[in-house]
Amino acid sequence: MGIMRILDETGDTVVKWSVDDPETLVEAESIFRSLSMERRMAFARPAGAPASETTLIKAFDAEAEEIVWVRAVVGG
Amino acid sequence: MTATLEAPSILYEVEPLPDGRELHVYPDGSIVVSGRAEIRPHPVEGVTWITRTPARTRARRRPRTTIFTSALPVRTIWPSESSMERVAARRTAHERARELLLSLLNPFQREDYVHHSGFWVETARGRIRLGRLYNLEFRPREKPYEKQILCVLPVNHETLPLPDIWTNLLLVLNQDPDKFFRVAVRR
Repeated sequence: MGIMRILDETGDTVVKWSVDDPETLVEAESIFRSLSMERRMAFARPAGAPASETTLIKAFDAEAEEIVWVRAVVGG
Repeated sequence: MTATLEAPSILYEVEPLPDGRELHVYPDGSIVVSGRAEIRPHPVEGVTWITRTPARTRARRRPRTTIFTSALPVRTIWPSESSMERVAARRTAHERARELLLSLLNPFQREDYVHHSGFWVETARGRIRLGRLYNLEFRPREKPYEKQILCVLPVNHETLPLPDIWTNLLLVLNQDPDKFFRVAVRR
């Protein structure tokens, strides 16, 4: 079971998928694609690992334990 | 014009005032103003009134003040149910965001954040402190005693709880620091 955390005004919205459940997998992939098009960045990490163990990913990884979606950064 | 009058027992000065009254100055320094003040100031010599001066003064009726009278009932305005729900939702969001951020910090950063609401992040270019919005303290590696102030934010940061903003910046700093420093605005 993998989870995606998408940072938003509620803290984060969680999307879960399972490699054994094609329906959740397709939905997670679809969300991944749409968020990538919004110029957001995805970081995969083993569940609960610190930021130093995260990896920037460009494509959906069904084996990832946790994917954290953050927004693009700009100068203020 | 100043005149000196001699009274049976005291000597004092009388000075006419511009508004028509008289100023009495006694030798011991005490003063007394007597007479009736005109409603217009004393005209300047050689200059006439633009409008006619009123014949007599007329007192205006004092307006009735009802705002601070005790007869009015005190009304307490409680926050509406919807606003309380919004506050509760915001608090829940903040807690969720904080939980996620703490899970991403190493033990030193976590302790720093819990006690000081900020933490340092090491990068190849130097150390940067996350914790003050719009004011990120940066210590370049080659000049560690020089303090620079940077401003970097996630897009639409105002919709995110504060700990989410630090999570956002922390992950970008860790994995794509070039992007972070490319967009950074130096103050």
